[in-house]
Amino acid sequence: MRIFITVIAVIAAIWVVPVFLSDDTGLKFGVSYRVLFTLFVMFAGFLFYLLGAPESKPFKSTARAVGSAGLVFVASIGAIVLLANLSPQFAFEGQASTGASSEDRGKAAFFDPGVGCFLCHVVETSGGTRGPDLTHVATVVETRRQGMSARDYLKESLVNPGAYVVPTFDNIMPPFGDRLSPEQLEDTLAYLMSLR
Amino acid sequence: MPPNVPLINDRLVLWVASELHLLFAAFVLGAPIFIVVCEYLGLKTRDQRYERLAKETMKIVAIAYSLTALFGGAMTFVLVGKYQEFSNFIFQRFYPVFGLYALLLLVESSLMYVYWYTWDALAGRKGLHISIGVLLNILGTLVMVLMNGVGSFMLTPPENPAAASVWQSLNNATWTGLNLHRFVANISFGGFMVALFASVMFLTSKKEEDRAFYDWMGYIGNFIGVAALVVLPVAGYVYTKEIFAYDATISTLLMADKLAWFFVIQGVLVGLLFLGAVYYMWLSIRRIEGGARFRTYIRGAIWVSLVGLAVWLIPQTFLPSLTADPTGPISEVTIPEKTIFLGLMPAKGLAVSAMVVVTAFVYLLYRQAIATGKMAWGRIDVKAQLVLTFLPAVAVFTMAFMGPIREMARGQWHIFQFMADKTPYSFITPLGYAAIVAGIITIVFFLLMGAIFWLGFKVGQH
Repeated sequence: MRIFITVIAVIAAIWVVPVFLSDDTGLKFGVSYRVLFTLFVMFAGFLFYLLGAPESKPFKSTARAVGSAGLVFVASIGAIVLLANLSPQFAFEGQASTGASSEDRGKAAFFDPGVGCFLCHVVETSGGTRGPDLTHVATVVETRRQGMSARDYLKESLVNPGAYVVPTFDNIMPPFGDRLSPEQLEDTLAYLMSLR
Repeated sequence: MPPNVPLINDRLVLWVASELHLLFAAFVLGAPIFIVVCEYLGLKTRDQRYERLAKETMKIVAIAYSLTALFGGAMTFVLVGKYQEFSNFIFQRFYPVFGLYALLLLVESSLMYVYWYTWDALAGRKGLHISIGVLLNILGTLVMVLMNGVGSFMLTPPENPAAASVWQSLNNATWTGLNLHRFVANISFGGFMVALFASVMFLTSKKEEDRAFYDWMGYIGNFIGVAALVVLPVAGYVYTKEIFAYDATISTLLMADKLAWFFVIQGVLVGLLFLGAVYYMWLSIRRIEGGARFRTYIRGAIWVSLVGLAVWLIPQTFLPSLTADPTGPISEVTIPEKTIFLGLMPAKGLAVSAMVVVTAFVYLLYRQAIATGKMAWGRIDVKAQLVLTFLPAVAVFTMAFMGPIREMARGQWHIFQFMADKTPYSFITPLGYAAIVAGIITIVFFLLMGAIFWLGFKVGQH
């Protein structure tokens, strides 16, 4: 009973406290997190219930014993599969759109998992943060290196990324000269040059 | 599913065949390691329980061996029949490796049968019998290492794969990490499977002395499983570090993009394994005279593990991929700024380290309890035997789940950045789909192991 009351109290706190927290505190967890914490507290409550449970008597028959083991097995797998299916999902991938213009094809290449640019570089809100933000890259790199145009700079970054590494970032970008066909390289450059 | 991809397709058949091959292979490689160790311990300590454990487990291994080969054959047929460009290249590139693999497999199979069928005949020459077992394990490990080279080549091929030598292809960036991770995982897996056998035999035993033996066997199997499990996060970290050093985009795909939530589920699975192991200790320490006094410390360890698991599970975001658009305010699905450190590697590393340390601590407490009290084997809470069913279920599911994660890390490549997968099945599957397939594979594996077990222990009893 004590465990049940504790679990209810903690869950109530998880949902009630954020209502009184302002966003400025930087501690206000969103609904998704509160659901995760609630599930976790319920699991912890179940575990502590098991810890306090009295010793179980031996099974009355072999069939019951094996049946119980089988039930635990199936329930464990089923619960994990259910949890995975309730977790955030992306849709099955369809055919990649190649687009009519060079810029469109370049954008498709940029966000193609097979190429991987977006995994490290963000454009607007899509992408990773291991590398520099490319949202306005064509404007930013215009004057980055004296005597080098934005287009030349971007091409060098793709083909020989180690030639110049933006400060505070690591030199981990792989060269894309061999990964992209000449046409893909031109398309990707067209896309990057459109990011002003 | 995309509309032009049938429900049962080449990729799914290959997925299931290769996973089942891997699960049986992990068992026939992992179990003999500690079978030989137990046989040696039986010789050293003259404790006949080790001898009985080793022999009874080897019976299962001997039967499981043929299923390993069966699914390996099925996997090869699908590869050769449906992925001809890829299999042509792989067999040509690794021809000497496959030749050596076939030779080692032949010798290993022969040794395995010699090891099993001379068990009683060499009862008076245990040293020789154990030596055969050691050689069997060396060959089995070599067989695994060779195929790990092929598998790791697909993810991290050397520069200019077309011109690379066999050795350069084999000795690629992640060969060592994969070898280490798989070797340790096989031992852990073997231990948990032995614990499962023991729990079933305990639950179905009628005699007190049999229950005492299977209680002990379950403890030993679980001990081996957990002892190897505590090392696995380190091995996994080494492996992932090698992947990152090779190409950062793969690790970003794994940890921040489409496969990130697969790793959240992996965190749940590993957390369940550690908590299950400690709960088993909680239940079983009561059968040691004076053991109950350690329970306060075990409860403390469970608290630490729960906090560690909570930190480990907290995701940076609830978005399923880097390019997903949130359906509502972004603040609802992203970690608050002041707590961002909870979603990063240092916090995760600390959390899993805490879980590993407290689990090891609990086992030390258990050893102390055994040293200072009298053990009543067989007088264990039956819930403990159900835990020994739960742990292998989660362990096998984890293996069945992690395999496709590694395969899908290649994205739409058969061989990363070298040979594209141009089939309609080259997509990364959503998390739920992968979990369903892993669940089916796990259940099929246990049904087959159940059949092997029934053959070995009920039909073959003499």
